[in-house]
Amino acid sequence: MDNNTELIGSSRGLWLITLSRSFSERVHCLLHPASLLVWLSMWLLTSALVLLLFFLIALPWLQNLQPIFYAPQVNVASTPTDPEQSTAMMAMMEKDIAKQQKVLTSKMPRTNFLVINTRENKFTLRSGDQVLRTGFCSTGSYTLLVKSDNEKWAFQTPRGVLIVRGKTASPVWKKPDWAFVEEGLPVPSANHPSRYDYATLGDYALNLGNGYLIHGTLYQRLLGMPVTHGCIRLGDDDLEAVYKAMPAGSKVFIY
Amino acid sequence: MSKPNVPRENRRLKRSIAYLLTAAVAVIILYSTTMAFLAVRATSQRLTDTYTADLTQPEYMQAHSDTAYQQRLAYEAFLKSRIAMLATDSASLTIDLTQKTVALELQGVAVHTVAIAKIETSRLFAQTDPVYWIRMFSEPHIADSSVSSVSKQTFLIKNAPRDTTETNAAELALPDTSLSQPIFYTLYLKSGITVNVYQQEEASGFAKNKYDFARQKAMLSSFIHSIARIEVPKYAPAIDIYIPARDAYTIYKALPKRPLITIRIV
Repeated sequence: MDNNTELIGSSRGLWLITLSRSFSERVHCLLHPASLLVWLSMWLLTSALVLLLFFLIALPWLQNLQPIFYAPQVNVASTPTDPEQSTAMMAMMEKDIAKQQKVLTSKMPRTNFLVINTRENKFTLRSGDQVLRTGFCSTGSYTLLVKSDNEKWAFQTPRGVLIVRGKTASPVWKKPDWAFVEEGLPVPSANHPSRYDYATLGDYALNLGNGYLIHGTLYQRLLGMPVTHGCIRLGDDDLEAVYKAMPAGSKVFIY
Repeated sequence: MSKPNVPRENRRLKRSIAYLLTAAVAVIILYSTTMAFLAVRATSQRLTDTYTADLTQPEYMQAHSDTAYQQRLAYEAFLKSRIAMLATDSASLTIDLTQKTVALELQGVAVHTVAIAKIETSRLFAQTDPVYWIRMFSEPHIADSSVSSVSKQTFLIKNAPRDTTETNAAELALPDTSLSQPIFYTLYLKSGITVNVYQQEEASGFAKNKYDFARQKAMLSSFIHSIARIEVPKYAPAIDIYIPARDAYTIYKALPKRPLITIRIV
């Protein structure tokens, strides 16, 4: 006899019979072997969720909170208590620090130097830690010009520490091959007159080697953007200031 | 007559399964927790093992009794590490947690210095004797891998025009220099320390949580692999720094793939 039959046989009210029957059916349904799989799946899902939360939240938190599990500290030998010895050690330390600082200070350029931030396209003219001038510039566009498998040009400004190898007023630009390829023009012979451009580089140029220059630009509105073929373009006033402030041999820090 | 027994048996079966599975989950949690603690302990032990031998030197003994001396010792270690970084031509990173600054250096010259808005470090740093950290950070650390929410510089490929007509047709596309994505990156130091750099703007928003979650997934995978093989998992104490997004991005782009990093923690 199941519970349902017992309840029907009792003298309780009809509402209770209805309720108990419905309850009994539900229990039977739940305990049916087929529903066990559903139940198991639900349970596993909940457990997986608990484990996931544990691994992702509780575990990192616990790891960072348990000094009790840290390795015991090694007992360091007795410390010197003699004040004279302490003073002497401190003096020696200061001497060492001064020596190290001297090494680092010696790396600071003695002449004015230029710092180029290629991401923000900004320049800073510095003398030691002092900023003499700052402003916008244009650096490499990070474009790869492809003509064929063998002819590719990467337009990027080299990073690192470069040296001003020479300076020129009223520079003339001898156009390389890519300047013609980029325009869709036929590449002329090495010394063809069409290679010589007297206006594009502005009033001054500082040679950084390997074909890279710091020069002026006709496109002042593009200052602050990465649009060049690798050279560093400055506005007219900034270029003049940099040209005058930086002798040959000055350092240019590009990052 | 066997019908009434079916639910009872099922109930018993269900209860048994519930007990077993609950016990299994509890065991997994307990085992994982223990392994996690052991991982921290192993890291701490490795640190003390590596740097213990020299702790008998007078300068380290003095550092234990004199805080001022300890700070100068840490500063000296910091300078030594920066000098060691002079050997590289690439940009390197200096993180000074005491002065709250991050500096990008090129051959010893700080070319980009940023103030840190917020610092968070693993408790292991505070719980371990500072002298160990001083010893550890007296030389630069190499970051042998990294992950980030943004890409480093990528080239835009442009096919050469066939003639001037094609050149004229092509519009001059100005590059987008705005920061469209949140900037988060993680540098994994070879020494086992993790440096997380977060943009200070919207530092607790959805984007950061998403980034952290993605990062934790990888850590979780490694953790589970280790504990499944009954090995103590790796634990990497972390240093989290929050700096402005544009500076964070500038630094990230300037750093080489395997940058040298100097850290001053004391």
